[in-house]
Amino acid sequence: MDDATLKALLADNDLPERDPAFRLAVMQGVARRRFIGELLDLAPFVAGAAALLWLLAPQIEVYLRRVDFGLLGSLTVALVIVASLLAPTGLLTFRRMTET
Amino acid sequence: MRGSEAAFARLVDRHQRALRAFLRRACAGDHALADDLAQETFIAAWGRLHAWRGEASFRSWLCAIGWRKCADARRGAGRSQRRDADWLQSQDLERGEGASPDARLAVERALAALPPEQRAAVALCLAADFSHAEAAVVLGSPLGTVKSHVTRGKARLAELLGAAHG
Repeated sequence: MDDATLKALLADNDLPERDPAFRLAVMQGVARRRFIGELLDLAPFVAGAAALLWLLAPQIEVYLRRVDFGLLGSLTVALVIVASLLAPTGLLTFRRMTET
Repeated sequence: MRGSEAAFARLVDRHQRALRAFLRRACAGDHALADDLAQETFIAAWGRLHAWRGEASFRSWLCAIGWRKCADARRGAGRSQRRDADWLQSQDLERGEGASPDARLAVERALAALPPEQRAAVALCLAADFSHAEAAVVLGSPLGTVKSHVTRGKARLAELLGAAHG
């Protein structure tokens, strides 16, 4: 059997030139990998924010006990704390939206 | 990021056939495993795009990642699992898998009978038109070794296919 015959036999395969199902599966895997990567990117910021809040909690508590904010003031302080916790996620979402 | 994903999807379209064909041959005809490895290869390539410096073609770089994954899968699989898979594969081949021509089945059987490195070298140099140098990069082997694998693989294939046709 000569090289040309062998080559012709080996070159024969039934794979399509384009395979949307295969591409979709790959791109889903890529999206999953990117999502995990972004979570890992965010993790240090979230951990830092949590640690900072934990460190500052006693001072914040003393301050809140000493000063009477009233209902509106207390709600504002609570909102600021929640917003500072959500900020990294918001920034990430904004970044992704502007890159689309 | 989205733009680069669209560009990467085009790369998947362009190279999926070559990579899957190579891995199917390297995996001794185990199409399901080969396609899984091809998907993993593309996903790994996405994560390492910065590492591709253009010294080798993108297709060679992909095949090199795929070949390493194939070797890992081979090492990871137990001896009995391989025996089972081989047996199942041989049953599929004997049933003829629908309209597949006899010649293709004979080639798949003959390829499966080669040692993995010889099989991969033959799949690259004979079936996919890689140069020996490119195949050496993909397989991570010295050029002389690849040439030797191709020569021996071709001879063994011709022998097996000659016997099958004779």
